[in-house]
Amino acid sequence: MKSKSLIGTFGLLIVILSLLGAVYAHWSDVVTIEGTVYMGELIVGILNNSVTHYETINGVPEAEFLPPANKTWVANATITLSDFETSVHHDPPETVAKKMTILMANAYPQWDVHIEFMLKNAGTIPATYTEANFTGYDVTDGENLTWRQDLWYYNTTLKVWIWEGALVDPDGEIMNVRVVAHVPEDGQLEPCTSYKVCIDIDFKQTAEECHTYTFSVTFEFVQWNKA
Amino acid sequence: MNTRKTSLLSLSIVILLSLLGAVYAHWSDVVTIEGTINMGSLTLSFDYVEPPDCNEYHWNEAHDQLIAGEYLGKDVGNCTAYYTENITDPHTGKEGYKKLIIVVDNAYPQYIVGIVFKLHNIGTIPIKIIGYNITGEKRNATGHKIYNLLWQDDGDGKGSIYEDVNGNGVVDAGDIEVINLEVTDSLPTQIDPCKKYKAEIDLEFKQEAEECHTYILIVEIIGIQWNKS
Repeated sequence: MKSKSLIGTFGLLIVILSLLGAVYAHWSDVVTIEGTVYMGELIVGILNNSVTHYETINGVPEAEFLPPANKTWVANATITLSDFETSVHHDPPETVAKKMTILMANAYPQWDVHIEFMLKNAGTIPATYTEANFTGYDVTDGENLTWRQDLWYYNTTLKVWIWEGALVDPDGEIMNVRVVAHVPEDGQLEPCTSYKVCIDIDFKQTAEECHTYTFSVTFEFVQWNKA
Repeated sequence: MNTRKTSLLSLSIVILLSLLGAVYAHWSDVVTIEGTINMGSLTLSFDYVEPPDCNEYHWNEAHDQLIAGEYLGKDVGNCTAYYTENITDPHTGKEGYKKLIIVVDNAYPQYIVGIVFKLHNIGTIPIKIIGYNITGEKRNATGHKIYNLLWQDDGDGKGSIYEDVNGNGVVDAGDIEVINLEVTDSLPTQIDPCKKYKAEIDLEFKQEAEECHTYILIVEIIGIQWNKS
């Protein structure tokens, strides 16, 4: 008898709770927020067709070096761009190169190469320079060259960052390198903005005849709020 | 059970780090400049093809003109010249010689000989000839050195060889003039790669040159890269 009453009470409770639930549902409402996020992009590279270079001898333009003039054929530099990347956010599209390759043939001491190019933030997010890495290798002797950094500072008058140093082997300097980057002091590159960079290379007497040297310079950037 | 937990934890850390790595790479960027430099070569040599040549002369009686051959057509003195120390430029693969040897036998005062040689730039960089460095020794019959020899250039490659009697390394009072030496070259200011040019060294022995002694001369032709002085 007792168990019959308990079952009855339980059944009644279920019915009451079901009715209450229907009433609650009837008095509820929903507000929805939907979002679509278009992410920006971070692309820094060398602006296509912005590279120029000229060669000097002891600081004098090759064709004007006396005596005699017009021995511009002795050594030559060839510069090419590769690893192109195009931003999908710009109209018209912005294309920059991620890599510059410099080939210097028949080089000799006091022959100098001067390269200018535009470094462009082709993305949509400000980019901040974080570091530069210089490495070198003597292919002929199979030994690494050391980067000796002499200067790295911001010239507030010219508003440029300046790196100066040399790639050296155990016998001395192979070549001096000077990089001048016309970028703000905080190293931030704004989207759609180009910045002039100049690289000067001059070869030293310690550079050996008939040797092949290679070098690599990497400039690293991160999103502006992470530097 | 513990091993399974540890493995699961390790796997989770690896996956987490990979995800973090992907996120970092996505928001950084790198611009690379790569360079390759092939250095040239500076190699001045004596010509591999054409050997040097000795030419004897004597003054005519009026002493205003050189005549080919020795006086009265006799064959008294002798000159031999040859190149040694074969070299190959590693860049161009061209061959040449580094040294010119001149041997004069049975010389006597007023014996005149001119040695013609040819220079060849077998490297890849133009060479500027900036001068000649002439040194030597006077030896006696037993081969013992008596004096060093010095060259005094009076200008345009014309000068004399002196015995350095006081051994001070410079030509001054007391030194003995024994050989007239002239470098007669038709070299341009610079020798471009692959180019060849002839030059000549003329020797005239003087009365002060001693009998039965040996005079050894070393002539260095100094070439430097064309853009240096």
